[in-house]
Amino acid sequence: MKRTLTLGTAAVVALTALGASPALAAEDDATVSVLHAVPDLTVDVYVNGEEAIPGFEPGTLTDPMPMAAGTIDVQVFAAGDDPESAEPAIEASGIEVPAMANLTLVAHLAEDGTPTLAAFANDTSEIPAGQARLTVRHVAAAPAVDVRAGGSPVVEGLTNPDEASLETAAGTVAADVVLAGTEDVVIGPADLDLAEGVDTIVYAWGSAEDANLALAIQTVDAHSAPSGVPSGLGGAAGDDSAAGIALAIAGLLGLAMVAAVAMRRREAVAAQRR
Amino acid sequence: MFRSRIAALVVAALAAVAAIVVGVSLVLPRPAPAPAPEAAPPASAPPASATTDPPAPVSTPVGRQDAALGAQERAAVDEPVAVRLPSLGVDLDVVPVGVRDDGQMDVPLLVSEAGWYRYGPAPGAEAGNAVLAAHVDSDRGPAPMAVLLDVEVGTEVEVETASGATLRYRIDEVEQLGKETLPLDEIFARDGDHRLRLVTCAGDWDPVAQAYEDNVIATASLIG
Repeated sequence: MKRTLTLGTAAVVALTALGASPALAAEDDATVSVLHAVPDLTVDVYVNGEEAIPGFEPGTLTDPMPMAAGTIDVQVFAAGDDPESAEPAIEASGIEVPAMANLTLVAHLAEDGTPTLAAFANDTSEIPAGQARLTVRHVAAAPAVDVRAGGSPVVEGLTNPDEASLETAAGTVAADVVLAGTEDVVIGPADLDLAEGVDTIVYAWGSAEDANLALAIQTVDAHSAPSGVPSGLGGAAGDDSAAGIALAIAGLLGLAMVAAVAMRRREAVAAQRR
Repeated sequence: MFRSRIAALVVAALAAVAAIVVGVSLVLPRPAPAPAPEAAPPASAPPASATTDPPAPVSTPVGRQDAALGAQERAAVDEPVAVRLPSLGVDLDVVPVGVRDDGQMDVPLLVSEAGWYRYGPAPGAEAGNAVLAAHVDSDRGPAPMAVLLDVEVGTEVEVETASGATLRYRIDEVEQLGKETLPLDEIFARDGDHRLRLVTCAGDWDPVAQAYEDNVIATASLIG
């Protein structure tokens, strides 16, 4: 019995090591994507001291990477800089990576133009069939903005580094970004393809001062199935010749009568047997 | 006593296997799903540093894409235009459909048409299910798709696409399921092996719900 316990402990230790190993995708791994939204600076991104994304160019987005839950330290260096000696352009320690989370780390400019890092949790909750989710994130060196679709504001007064989200019918919308409360268009208008069942995340990034504001797009699947397949009209589907409509009417009007008759018959049968 | 000994042995064996698996996985380099770097070095790859020794295990750089608006091309879809069950004389036009306001699939009213669920995979897709649904009847009587009520496994189904291609499927399963227990996520799955799902209604008509109580789902695999 004692031996069993000892071996059991060994197994637990082994499994713990398994969970902690970054090279193995575990079921409760988080999914982390990285967006580079600092203009004019190609970088090398280090995660927990390891080079994770070399030669990362502005306006690009990585594929989702599985990552064990925990906290991570991220350093962003100008491409080619030696991490041993150079000063990182951006540094963020202790970023929470919850189990199962879907995160996007965004290297971007703060409102005052300072390069910084933000971690956004992507909403992967199911989108009703036929609908699309639009998420807007302000990661630009720019003041508060309104986001408009077809000319009407859908998000108002969004400031760096906040986000707003809404669900709408899938389809294409003409979107633009204006300074909050004004008609001054700073980005767009541009056609946004809001695919069904997809969280389309739109980042407003760049710098107003440097006149390089732009949109970056990330999509996260969150589709769901329709709630049913209504494929009959009650016209009797071939097995019986009795018309379904007639049955329906009988069902609605005469059910009680039919039941009563049936019961009386049963009573009659029972009486006969007696 | 004998039993607990076996249990101890089993646990020991399992622990040993776990330890080996973990040990091996920690030692082995990560499998690289991307093309081998030797075969196709990316143009943007940084030159290998001559000072690095010994060479670290090559880890594939994470994939990345241009996030600019408009850079994400949606794959063109060769939409289905007709579905046929030649051995049963069924030939329906196919129209793309979405969902109704109540969240159900929007099945065409015309019994000569089947609806293709356009938000899901199309016939011939790499993965996931292409769902075609048609009414089992109209208020005038049975409709062509009523053949699904007693279609046999092995029956061939043809789907014609907008490009003029004909995809041939063979039915491998026919299920009649109550609408309350329908595995909708599975029927409409957008991943997994590609299948064609032909759906219509069956069972008793529920006059209050104005619907049949069941759906019949014929699942077919691509054969050519």
